[in-house]
Amino acid sequence: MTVELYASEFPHSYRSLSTRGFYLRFVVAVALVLAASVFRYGWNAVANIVVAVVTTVVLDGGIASLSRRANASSDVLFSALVLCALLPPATPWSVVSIGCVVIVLVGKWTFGGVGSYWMHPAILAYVVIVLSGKGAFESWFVVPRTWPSTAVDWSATELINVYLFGTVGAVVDVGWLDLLFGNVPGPLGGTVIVTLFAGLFLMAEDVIPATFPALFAIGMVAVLLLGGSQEVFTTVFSGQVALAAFFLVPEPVSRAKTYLGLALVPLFAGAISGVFTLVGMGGASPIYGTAVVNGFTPLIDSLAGREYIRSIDEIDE
Amino acid sequence: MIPARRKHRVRPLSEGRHPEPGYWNAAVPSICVVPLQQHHGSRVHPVVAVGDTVREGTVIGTGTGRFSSLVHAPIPGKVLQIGEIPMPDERSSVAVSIELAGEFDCLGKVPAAHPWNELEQEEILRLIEEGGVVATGRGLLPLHTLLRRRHRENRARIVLDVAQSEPYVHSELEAAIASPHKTVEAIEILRVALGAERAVIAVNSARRRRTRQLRREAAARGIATVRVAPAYPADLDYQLANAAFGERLPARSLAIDRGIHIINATTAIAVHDAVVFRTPQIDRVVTVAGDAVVRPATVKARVGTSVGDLIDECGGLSSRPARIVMGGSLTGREVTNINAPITKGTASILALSDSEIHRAPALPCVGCGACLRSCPVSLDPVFLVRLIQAGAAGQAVRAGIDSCVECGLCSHVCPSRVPLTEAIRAARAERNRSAS
Repeated sequence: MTVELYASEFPHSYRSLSTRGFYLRFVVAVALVLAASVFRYGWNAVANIVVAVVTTVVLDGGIASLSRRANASSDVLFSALVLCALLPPATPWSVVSIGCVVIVLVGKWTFGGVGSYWMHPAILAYVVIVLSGKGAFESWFVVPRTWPSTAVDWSATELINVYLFGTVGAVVDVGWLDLLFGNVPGPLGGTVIVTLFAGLFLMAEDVIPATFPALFAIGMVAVLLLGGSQEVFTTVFSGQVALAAFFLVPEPVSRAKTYLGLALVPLFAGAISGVFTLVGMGGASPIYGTAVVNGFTPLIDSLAGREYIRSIDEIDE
Repeated sequence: MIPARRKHRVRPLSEGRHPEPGYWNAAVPSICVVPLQQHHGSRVHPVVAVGDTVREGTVIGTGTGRFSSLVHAPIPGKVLQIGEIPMPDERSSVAVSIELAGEFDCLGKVPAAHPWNELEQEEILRLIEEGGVVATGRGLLPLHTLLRRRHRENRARIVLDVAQSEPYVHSELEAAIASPHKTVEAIEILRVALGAERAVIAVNSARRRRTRQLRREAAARGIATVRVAPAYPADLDYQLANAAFGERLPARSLAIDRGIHIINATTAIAVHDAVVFRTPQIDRVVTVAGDAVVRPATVKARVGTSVGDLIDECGGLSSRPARIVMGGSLTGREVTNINAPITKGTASILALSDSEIHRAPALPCVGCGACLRSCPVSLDPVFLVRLIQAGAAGQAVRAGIDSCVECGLCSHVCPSRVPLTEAIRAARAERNRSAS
């Protein structure tokens, strides 16, 4: 009998998106946002982006090859680019490189590499930079090159107010187009319309569900309205909110796992961002709000998945 | 007990080009290699010798014990060889190789229909046993064995499963659509055989239009139809029991434990042929699909036809396939020799191209939760695999490893290509081995 059959394991087809694939799409999306920032802030932005990419790739690649562990370096590359987008445009490149070291060493490898960390490394690095650079941080904000042209003379405005209070409308009279096109001082990746396009790209590629940014915005708007804020529109239409909704909350490793968790985490992140805005934490409120919820995501997940956990307890009995 | 079974929300999986509707009879091969072990259960032994002449439908293999089934010659001819061959499910089987010669007794002839309404339960079961009918899709056990299993508390009920939710596989649907009268009459026969009071047909809600005739025939005989979601998996025991009779099955229990018999369409048609025409199960409706096949289609082929012959029947290969699979793309087995024969349980042959497989290097789990959300029985596959890797078999059992239905969905959706189903399956197999 010459017939032979060889058994192999299943399945024989996989979902088209691999881990490297979806991180690559994240990198493309955030790179799109940063490309717009180059137009606004010139070579300073380019220098920071290059420093971030080089530091991250070299350090992460070195650690991965030394430890001989399977690695997807696009995950920290994504985090490094998100950090660049979150930081003010005039952040010194040395600070950016320190942030990237934090991303790779503390954010990723301290917890055991790709998939093992519980907090978005970019948020961790951002918090470290804000805490260590207190005082200098506010001075890194600069006036962007505006497009389409705006009548607002930003040079006569105290930029610190924009950052500290995050309420652009209260400082100067700007239109919604100015907000959309990022004609306000803010983080490097503050061009809201480009971030929205990048978000649409991620949703079209099935990398993030549309519910993430929607629930984040709903949570934030609800809290701002309940808190009696007069600047709901200008607050929600900021670059930081867009970055948080599209690049911080949906980060694959640190986001929720359960269906309920996936709904609750962006909702809570938006709501807490709204609370932080109301108590005067300024334009970075969405990042701090996301950071807090990011830290509690495992807890939210375990509460959201309690039906399953209870069933295991029943078995133990 | 694990009561948590959430509503399954995974979207229908992609399956390349759709096979054309309907099926045709494949050319009869000049040589059939018929594995005798086409079902789980007792070992089947050959009752013919090399050089014997067999007719179409002659018994060539028989087993002993309750869980045995007869195997019949799919073609008339001469026995060329008898020997051991490996089977796709890692077992081996004695196979009888038959070279086509002589006249067909069934092919091209209108079989005489025998009235069955007057038959007793036991007589019907005997005819099913003599027909060598195997319950395809549900454990591949001899059907007469399953039908003889009586439940003390629950009256028998029947679900005809036409849903067949696994990507690429359309054989049950096409068989039922092509023979609606036979299918519905088979349910009537099974109702008598089981003394069943209720019977329901489960169809995929995305195939409403194509199953219209089947549903009409069923309605005319008082058989209800229920729709199941066009997702995978949608025809697990607990899903069908719930959809058909609103019954919630406890974890790890099968529908048959509650007296619910889930029968596939091809099995039902084989029952009809065995009881009404007194012809044995010697052919199988098989979907031949995948992007590497020139003309994806469903064909009816003799058991023992080779995979290569079936691919040729569908126009051959348009490109070099990345993988040839016997069964569905998620639960099937890879075949590396296209001379491998089909059995009564083969639902599909897939020649998958690279663009359908989506190969990627394996990475550590990124904790995205895709497997957790996709599991139809609410398990946490990564948690189970970590327990297995840590050698905590007892904890894995408590965490519900025995509830896994091995649908392969967790591995399919994993972006890091962590072999979750494989690890769970290997752990269970290892435990069964050490227990036995």
